[in-house]
Amino acid sequence: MSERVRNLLPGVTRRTVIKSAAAGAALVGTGALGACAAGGTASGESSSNGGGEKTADNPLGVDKSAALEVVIFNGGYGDQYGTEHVGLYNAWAGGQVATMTSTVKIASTLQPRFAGGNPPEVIDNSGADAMPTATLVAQNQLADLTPLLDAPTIDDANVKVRDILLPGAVESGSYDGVFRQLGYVFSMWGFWYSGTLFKDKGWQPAKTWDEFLALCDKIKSSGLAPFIHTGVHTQYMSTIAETMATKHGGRDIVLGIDNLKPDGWANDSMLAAAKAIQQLQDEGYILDGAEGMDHTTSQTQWLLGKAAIIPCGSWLENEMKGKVPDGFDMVVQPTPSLTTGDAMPYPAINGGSGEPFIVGEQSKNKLGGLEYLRIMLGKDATSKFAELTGSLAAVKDAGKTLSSPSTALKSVADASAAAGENIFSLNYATWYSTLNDARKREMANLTTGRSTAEEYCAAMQKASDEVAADPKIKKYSRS
Amino acid sequence: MNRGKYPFLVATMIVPMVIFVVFVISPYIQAFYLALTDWTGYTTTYNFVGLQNFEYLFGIIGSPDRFFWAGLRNNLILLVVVPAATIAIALFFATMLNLSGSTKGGQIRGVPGATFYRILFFVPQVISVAALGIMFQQIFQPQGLLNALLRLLGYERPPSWLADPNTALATVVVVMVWMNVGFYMVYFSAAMSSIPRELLEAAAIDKASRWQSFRMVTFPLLRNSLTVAFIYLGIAALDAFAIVQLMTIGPGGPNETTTVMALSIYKNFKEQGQFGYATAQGVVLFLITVVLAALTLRATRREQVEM
Repeated sequence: MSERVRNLLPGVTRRTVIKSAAAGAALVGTGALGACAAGGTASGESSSNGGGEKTADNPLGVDKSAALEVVIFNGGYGDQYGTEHVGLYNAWAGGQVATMTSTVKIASTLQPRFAGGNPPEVIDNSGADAMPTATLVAQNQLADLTPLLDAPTIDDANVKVRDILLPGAVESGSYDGVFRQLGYVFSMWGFWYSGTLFKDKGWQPAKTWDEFLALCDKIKSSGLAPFIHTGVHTQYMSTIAETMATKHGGRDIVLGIDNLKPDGWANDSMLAAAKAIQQLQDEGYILDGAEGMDHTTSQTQWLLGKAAIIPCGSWLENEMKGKVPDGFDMVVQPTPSLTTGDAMPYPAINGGSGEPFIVGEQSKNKLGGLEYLRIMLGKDATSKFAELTGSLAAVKDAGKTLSSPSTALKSVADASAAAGENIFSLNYATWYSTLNDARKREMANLTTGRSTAEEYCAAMQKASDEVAADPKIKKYSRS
Repeated sequence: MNRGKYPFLVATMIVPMVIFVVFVISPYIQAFYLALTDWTGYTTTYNFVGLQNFEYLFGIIGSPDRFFWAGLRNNLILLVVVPAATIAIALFFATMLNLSGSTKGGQIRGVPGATFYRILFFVPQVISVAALGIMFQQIFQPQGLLNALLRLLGYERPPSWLADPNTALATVVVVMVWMNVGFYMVYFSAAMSSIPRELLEAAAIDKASRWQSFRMVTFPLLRNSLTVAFIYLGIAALDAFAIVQLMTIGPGGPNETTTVMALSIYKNFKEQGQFGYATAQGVVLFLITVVLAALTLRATRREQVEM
């Protein structure tokens, strides 16, 4: 969020004389933006990448004496792991060349750097103030990370980095087939419940939607609300709907939605998923008031035992650290299959690698940035990360090296192992932020009964068609 | 003796003028130019595209920007409701606190405890908008404080306020009025204290009721202050960015019922990386605000009371 804009408004309106105040405040919209623009005259000099010699220890040919700047988003995972990773890079380079800064305001801090042609090497582009990746790619501001994929791993010179990444990781970080962002943290979506509560009541996690409705009925008759979700951030429920539709209809659903196809949303699988969510609302299975709760409020209500099941991502335990009652035993399960004849098996999950790391194309030590990412993917760095954050790095076998994981982390590792190659994720909401707005809006309508499943699919299809026809939006595709 | 005046003026004015030009005028000029470019905000270069951004905005190319125009609609609703409600309530409070108490020894006073109330009503003004946004979000949450009270009073199904398209904008109005009433109450109190007491006492001697003396004496003498208040509040209503961004669902939802133009500008820049297009929206917002402020000034100019 722009502190600049927010702070400017009251100041201008109160302190200026009437007539100029009228003009002045009106200009805030334009003026504040103009103020950001002031640095935009730097030369278009391209980065210098030469220097180091390619050796077994230095496969990318990095100049080890060149400075490296790393910017870490200081959010749910903290920034301690960044300090550790920078230490690993410095040990590799044999000198104090890499430095780390951390912030929660990535875009506010770094937009002027990009506009000035002087971005940092490595950026953890995450959080509410993340930079629009699609725009950065369209303007060729992000380095092509393909050389990293073809480089050997830190731990085994015979294995390429490409081969230790999770299925779909390269694809989901690619724009028009070029790998631009490395998702570092494994995350998955699913339904969460308290293992203890389910054991006490003798409830079984449901594998199909029919079973799920029967379970909800049982939970409701016990006096508990079966389901809760965040009505403020309805992209959570939207993700669940997309997940169930994809399991029902297969990968074509993902491709149809991401490629803005005329039937991306208007198809039987999406309709079936939307109908399932409409049922939750129609049957009164959703806790009253969920429509106005933000994510942490809804998660707190769930931890307090006001509702039995909540859809969320695998960061849930970490996010609620310190608020989880003793013996709660949170566990995640994949979303139920809509029918017994779904295209994908029940263990299929919507997930992959999140927490996007990017390298500035115009940065001075671009290859050093790639090397930093290579080090991050090594076993030393990933186990340090899991130890510090309680989350899995997005590399194969990250779950195998865990010592005494929590029930939540163990269930995530198990679900990821069970899913195997059946891991998928959708890109449209990152590619097209107007569609992200649309999915939040329309899912809020569906989960509060303001629209039906048919209206939901039609509205989303219309929004998708509008983006497809909008000439000012850069389009991406995947296959 | 006049010879020294000009160098003195130049010497004292040059620094503020330079600062003003560099930090106020030049960003505005840049903004008008950037509105004619395709700058994303993340490159060192950009292209001049003429009026293309405005063509997108008005739907000459593609469909009109529904988020921006929904914002304009909501801004206009706020513009009608917020200043009127704020001024009415602030005037009422100011009158009660200054002119509506007992008349002791020929002195017109406010109600008992006026000083306490004055401080109490002013408190919202010293709380930051960010804190207010979070606070009201919690109060208006469907399971929040307000609905808990309503349930105690017997309303089984109270509205879900910010989560319901029918009540969301009204909730924003309530918060904006609450935020502003205290300041304008103090402002009107100050203006009232400059009204000659003899006029009010003369009215009282003529057996004018409280309402009559307010309508015939106080109100006309406050006209200048009211104009200022209308313009300030009008500008606040055309902005409303901070509270909407912090408090509403979406933000701007549900169904774009609470979005405002400034939020559209913000989203286009921050989330969509369309700096040029966002700036074009800023230019439109600027023109609308200037026109409305000029109309307000013109409409109220000739009705000033001579004293």
